[in-house]
Amino acid sequence: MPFESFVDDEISTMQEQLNESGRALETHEIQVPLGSIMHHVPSVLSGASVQDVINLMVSHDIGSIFVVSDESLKGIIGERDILLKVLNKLGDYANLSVDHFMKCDPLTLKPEDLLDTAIQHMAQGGFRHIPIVDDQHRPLGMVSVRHIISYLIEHFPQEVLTLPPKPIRNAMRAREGA
Amino acid sequence: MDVRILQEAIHHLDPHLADHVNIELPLAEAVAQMQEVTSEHQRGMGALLVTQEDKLIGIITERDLVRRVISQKRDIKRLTAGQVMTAQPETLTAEDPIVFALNLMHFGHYRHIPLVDEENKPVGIITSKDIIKYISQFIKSI
Repeated sequence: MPFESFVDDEISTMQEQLNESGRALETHEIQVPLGSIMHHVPSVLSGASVQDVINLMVSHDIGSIFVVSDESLKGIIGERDILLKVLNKLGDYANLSVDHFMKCDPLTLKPEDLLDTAIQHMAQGGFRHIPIVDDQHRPLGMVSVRHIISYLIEHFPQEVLTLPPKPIRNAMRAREGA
Repeated sequence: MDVRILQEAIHHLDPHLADHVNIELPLAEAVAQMQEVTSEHQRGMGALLVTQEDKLIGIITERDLVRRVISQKRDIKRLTAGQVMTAQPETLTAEDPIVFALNLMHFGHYRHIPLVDEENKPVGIITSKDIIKYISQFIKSI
């Protein structure tokens, strides 16, 4: 019967779409070099003031800043460091040196290191940011959790971008009087 | 890594408990709570939920504190949690799929998503680090 045939075709199409949505993130997509997904992060010189760092964070809408000395990465300072070590604890912190508050010698990776390596280090170390440096330990950029999430979304657009604005709740609640 | 891991419910991320404070709490006390080092928060908390009559009404994040308090040189002793919070944050439930959290984090630039029950009472919070930790289980170890 034509109607049953139509329904069977629709179910078959829906099944194909369901199977297609179960796509795996291919190995080459996880083993992408960090150099291709890192982003630029501003730097301050060792000895710069905490106020300089705060101004940069606000103007660049960024949560982590590099601290360098002789072009070499010395440390990173993030919003958490400001929260934990500065706010509510020090009277006049604005002119204090950032060196007192930064995380010294953070874990770094190279631009040829791969995304899955960064993910594992972040998971194990609890980091949100990993600086990317060259052979002379000069900072080239940063890989952050935010950018990894964005990268994953770029590779699963069908699964993410077609979502409704809010999860559909109680969608099957029975209508009254229909 | 199979995309279907992102379609699992958020409770698979093992969400943190929802630390929350009343909207009228002095900000200095809220900050002290965020700075407290515990076994669950070994580097303090990046966000604190704000409630009014037990219902979620806002969230205070470390970013809010840097931008709305420190950079503007405001005195935290003269402020309340309600004056600094981001009001009516995006929320999810523990049963929503993880991919919704990714969607919100990407488009909203959020690092924290509060979880609520059907009465809009906070039950937990998930972070972008929770997503990374979850995904790391499905890719090769270093």
